[in-house]
Amino acid sequence: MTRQLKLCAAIGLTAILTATPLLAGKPLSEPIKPIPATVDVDPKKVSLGRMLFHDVRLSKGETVSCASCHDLTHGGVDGVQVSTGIDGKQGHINSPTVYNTGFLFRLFWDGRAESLEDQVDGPIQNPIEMGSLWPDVVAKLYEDTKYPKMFNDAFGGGINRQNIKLALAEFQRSLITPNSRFDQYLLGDANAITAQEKTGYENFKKYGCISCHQGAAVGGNMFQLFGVANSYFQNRGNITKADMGRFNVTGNVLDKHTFKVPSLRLAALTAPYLHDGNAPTLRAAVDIMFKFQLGREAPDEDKDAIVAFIKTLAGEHPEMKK
Amino acid sequence: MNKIISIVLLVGAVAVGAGVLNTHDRLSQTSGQAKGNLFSVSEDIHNLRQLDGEWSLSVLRSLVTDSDFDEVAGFLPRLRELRADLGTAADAEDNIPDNLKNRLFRFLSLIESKEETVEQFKTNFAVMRNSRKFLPVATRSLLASAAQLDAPKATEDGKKAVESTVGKGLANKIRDIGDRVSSFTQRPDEGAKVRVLTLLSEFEETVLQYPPELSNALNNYISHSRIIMERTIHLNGILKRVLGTEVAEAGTELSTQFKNFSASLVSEVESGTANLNKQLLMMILGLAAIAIVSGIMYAISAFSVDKKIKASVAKATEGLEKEMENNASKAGSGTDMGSVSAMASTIAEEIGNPVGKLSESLDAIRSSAERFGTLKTEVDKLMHTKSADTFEMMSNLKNIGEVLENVSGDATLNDVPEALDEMQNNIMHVQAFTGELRNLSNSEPKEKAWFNVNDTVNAAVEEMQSKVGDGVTIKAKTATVPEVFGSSEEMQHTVVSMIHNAVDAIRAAGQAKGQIMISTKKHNDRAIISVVDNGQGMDDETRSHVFEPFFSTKERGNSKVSGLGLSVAQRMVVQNDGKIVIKSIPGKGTNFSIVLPLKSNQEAAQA
Repeated sequence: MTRQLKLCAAIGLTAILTATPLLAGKPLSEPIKPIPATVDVDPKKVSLGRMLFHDVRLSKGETVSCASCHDLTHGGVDGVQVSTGIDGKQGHINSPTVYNTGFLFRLFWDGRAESLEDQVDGPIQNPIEMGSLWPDVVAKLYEDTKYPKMFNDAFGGGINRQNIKLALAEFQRSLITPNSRFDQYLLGDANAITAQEKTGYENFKKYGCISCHQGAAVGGNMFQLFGVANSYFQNRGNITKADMGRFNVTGNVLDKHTFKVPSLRLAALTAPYLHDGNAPTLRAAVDIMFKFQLGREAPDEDKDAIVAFIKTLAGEHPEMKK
Repeated sequence: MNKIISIVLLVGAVAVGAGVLNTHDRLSQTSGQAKGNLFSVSEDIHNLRQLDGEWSLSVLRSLVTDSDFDEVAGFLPRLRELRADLGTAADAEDNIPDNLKNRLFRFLSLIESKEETVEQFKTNFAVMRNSRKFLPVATRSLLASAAQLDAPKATEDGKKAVESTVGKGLANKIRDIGDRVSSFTQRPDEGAKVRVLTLLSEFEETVLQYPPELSNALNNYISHSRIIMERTIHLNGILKRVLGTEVAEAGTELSTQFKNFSASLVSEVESGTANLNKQLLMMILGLAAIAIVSGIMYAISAFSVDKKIKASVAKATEGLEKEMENNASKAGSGTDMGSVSAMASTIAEEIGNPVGKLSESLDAIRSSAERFGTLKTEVDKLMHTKSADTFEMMSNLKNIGEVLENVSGDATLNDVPEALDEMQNNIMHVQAFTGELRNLSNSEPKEKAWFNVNDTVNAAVEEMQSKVGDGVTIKAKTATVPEVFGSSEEMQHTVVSMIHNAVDAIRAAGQAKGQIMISTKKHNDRAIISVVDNGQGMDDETRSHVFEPFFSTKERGNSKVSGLGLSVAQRMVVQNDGKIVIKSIPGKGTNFSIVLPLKSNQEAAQA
């Protein structure tokens, strides 16, 4: 025991010594980690990816781009319950943000994509999202005057689905939102958040939200059953295929209604909430979580404090300010 | 010595001329050699287009005969293989311009897209076909079942049963739906689809009233009808893509562009060939001139030897220095063994070097030129191929591909313009040199007449004004001089030579403000034309050699330098009974004076 204490002390001392003296205080060791200030990406691939992200030629009929549903100036989402794809078709699920996706362990609500690269196949080929065939996209991009050269510069090769995916993924990896008030707090600035927000964070831990929403993305590192305490879906009714969650991927009955825990990082900007977009406000989402995940109630002021805390998680990215 | 030089020159000239003619011949010869990527690309494009065409036909055939898509699917491995081959070949071929390559990859993508579309079609079609096969059978059985509903049933009380119309109603309904579904498949549109689907939903709600077996059969019937409704529109969309003209158009466009690419290469090649022919013609003429001049040189040399003996005799006679100078001038060349040696080395350099370079240039362009010729022949063949004869056309394209590969494979294509420029420079050098040789050797007196030296000077100044270049100004200062009897043409040439010499002297001195003053004056019974420069000047040693042919203080290699200019000038002045007097101060400048006698009419008549 003494030995362990010594070890802890040593680690703590090292942490203090390595802390940059510019900071007001020492960094906190919390289950939530700050988002790094920079991320190592290839600028050529990123700028190519940015162009592709905004290019409607990725969709059949050339009406929607990635940015149509993932508006970078609006938290990387479209702010509606379900998105509208080609030919005005309505999607089946709420569009998650594209910010901080580099921190997620899987992509899509059901986690069917293991990497950002794999994820690209989904919206491009989904008949109600972009409805494209890959070779069609490639053919269209070959007609462009700039793309062939940009692809060659970035990859030393031609336009193909693999390179398109790589560029889009690299661009998304560049979409990080560091320097949130909560991260400043984590890094040692005790005054970066208010007393209520601090209380909110304590509540967040006390009630157990932290057991699923944790890490740099405050979520996105595990699957969880939606409706642990009470059946959300029976309560809501009209169960769709999308509601089956991870079951659609594995076919395992134990995976029914299991979803990737969403990141709360930009929750302040990405209403409505949940995979079905059923919670119009952050407070409504918190209520649902209490009822169906925690199976308990809490005083309004506790919930309000949690909402106030969640709002401190949103950091900055140049694209958000445009 | 002179004989040997001349003979060697003559033989050399003839040999080079023959070589040139030989090269020229070889230009139009063909040589089919190694295979290349361009060939493979052009062939693959053609094959892929053809395969796509056959494949589309196969899709149509499957649709018309309502057979399954196995035959259509059978195309896929070949299509994929060809696509991959073409992609690899195009990737490896750096000589295809980027934009053409991009069109090519676009075309490949469109084919790939069509492959995926066809696969989608195949799956959907199989489902729909299954339903369509099922429906007539189901309809017959349903109608039979419906008829049974109306069959009179024996009742317990023995009364005659009330005639039922339930079955009839159901049968009508089934027929109605069947008609609507089949007419929809003939002419599918969204409106009809919605109407029929609504009808099916309404019908679905009524089926429970029938006995369980019938109700199940009806539900089955309805679901198959739905499948047909849902898939027909989807299939129509797919079919539009499969049988659409997009791929064919892209293929045609690609072939056209590839053809244009080849054509542009061909026209480049043709103009290159024409240019080459011109250059070769020039070279042949130049070499012919060399041959002629070499012959003349042989004569002169023989003459010079004779003169050399005379000069030696004269030299042996002491105190006759001035006389010797006159004799030498009249003889047209002050030759001694030293100047013969200078002549030999000069000729070797002035003709030998350019000819050597010409030969190098020829080597550099020969391989390309041969391929140009081949390509032209192959393209001519292609142009004359009937468009229907695809096989022959392909074989021609293949040949063109091979030649293109060779042309673009080595770097000589790019070297040709440079080589031609080099040749032209060398030929011009030889021409300039042989021109001067001709002047030197041309002993035929020009026609003489009365002329004004001021006119001659002005003409020479005008001729040279634009040629002297920056940093050198020419001024003419003429006085009233009586007319001179002689060749004004030769005198103009002489003045021009002296201006050239003055410019060279100014350049050699690095003089930034070069001035050349040309003046005329009458002095006693002489007319004097003075060309004064502020160039480098010359010492006495140099001055004593300036009229020797091939004597030059300037470095060899400069195309203007031959060492013949002043020799020719002096010969011309002597022909006109005059002389050239040189005064020079090293580092300050030089004054060349042409002194011509003012003759009486009588003297002129005798001349």
